[in-house]
Amino acid sequence: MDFDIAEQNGVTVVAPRGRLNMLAAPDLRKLLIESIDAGRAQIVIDLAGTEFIDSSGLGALVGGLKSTRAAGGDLRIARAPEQVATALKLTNLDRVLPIHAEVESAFHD
Amino acid sequence: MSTLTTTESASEARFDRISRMAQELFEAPIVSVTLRDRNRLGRARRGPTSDRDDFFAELIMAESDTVVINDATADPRTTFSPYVIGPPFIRFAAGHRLTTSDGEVIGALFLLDTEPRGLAPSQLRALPDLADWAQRELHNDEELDRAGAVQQALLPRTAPDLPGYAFAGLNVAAQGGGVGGDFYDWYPVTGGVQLTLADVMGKGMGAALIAATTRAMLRGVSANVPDVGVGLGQAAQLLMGDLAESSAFVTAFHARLDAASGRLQYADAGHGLSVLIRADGTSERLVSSSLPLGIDANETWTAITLQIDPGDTLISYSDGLLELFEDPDKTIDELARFASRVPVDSIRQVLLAYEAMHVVGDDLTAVMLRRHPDP
Repeated sequence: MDFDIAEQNGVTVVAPRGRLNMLAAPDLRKLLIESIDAGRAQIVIDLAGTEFIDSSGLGALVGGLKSTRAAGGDLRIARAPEQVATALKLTNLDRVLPIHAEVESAFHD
Repeated sequence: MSTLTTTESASEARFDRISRMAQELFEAPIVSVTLRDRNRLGRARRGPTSDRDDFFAELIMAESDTVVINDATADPRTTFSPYVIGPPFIRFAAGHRLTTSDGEVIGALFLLDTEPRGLAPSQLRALPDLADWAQRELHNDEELDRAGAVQQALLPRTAPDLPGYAFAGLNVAAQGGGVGGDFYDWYPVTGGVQLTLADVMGKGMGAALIAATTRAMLRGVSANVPDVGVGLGQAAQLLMGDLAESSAFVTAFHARLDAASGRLQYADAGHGLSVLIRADGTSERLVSSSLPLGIDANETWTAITLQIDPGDTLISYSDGLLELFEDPDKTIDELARFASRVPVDSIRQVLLAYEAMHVVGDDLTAVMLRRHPDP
């Protein structure tokens, strides 16, 4: 899986591309930790390019949420495609990771 | 008729690859990965091997280093072998033993040729490397076997013996290898039965161990806490440390049936895949808005009460089951079409039949309960 990273108005936007499964989840976790360690703990995950997520991928998102908050920041998600949104709703994880419609508004909703 | 398990068929493919690579590398007509299967040698767990392969494997397993026999007619180990004197007239053998992670010798990887020959230095160096590769595949399989054994040990051995009710459960490992953290559990409690279906995020030994811990916690708590919501909460608190450390979470459906009244009390932690199919074929999805275990230390779970009437069927299943039906949203409709009309064990058989026809990338776990119709 590939990850695009960009900075937008003081927020780090991470855009995974591909399948966020057991193989890719550790890479995402590592990336998020690196960002937090570098002082960038306000993160938006743009899920538009995430074709598929499984429990490992969900775990990486939740782990990222906990880590950013522990560092005084936060993690939000945006533009979840259908399969990802379904997975989040089924587990009620959309309660802790509400799905924002746009990256820009994720930190301003 | 015997069927290969997932682990065996996956290692089949891997050993074939190793053998093919060896064949190209060494330009040898015969390459074998032969494993000692308890008392007899078997070729890569596939079944009886040839006596020829057994002979050479034994010879190679006797040495800890690479064995090279350039001319089989001149080496005391092979001079009198029927496979050298007679067909297929082997003249060259080279190989390396295979061991487990504990150092137990379990087989050999070797090449045979019908011409006397040698090995180039690069080929000689490659032999122990290939043996190492084959060994690592075996260690992997051992690990999966161990994780699989942990998982199997989690499952109940018999169905509850509760007059008026029938139970069925199934747990099928994901095809293509890998052991997940799904499990179901049931056991008697005062006046009825406690029922759990849980799904630990992830696969492999880590998930299997958390599943084992979760099961133990829930069992321990259920003995003293009749309210399933409170029980789930207590288990969640106890598990929080373990879950945080491994960045894992657990979805669960945790329920308690009172046999006399048919009242089912359940709590759902982010599972959301449970359905009550009534005797008349109508269905009711059992949901809640609660989070899985391991997400929020302050989360609480509330018990919801449901009435199970004669002829009703309760099915709780893992998300692997969604892959069995064309449209995941229609899963409940599909189940409702037949579930109320057949015995629970037949529901189980139908699901297994579906599973056999599809490539399911996830574990498939389900637990079913039927209250017998009035006579």
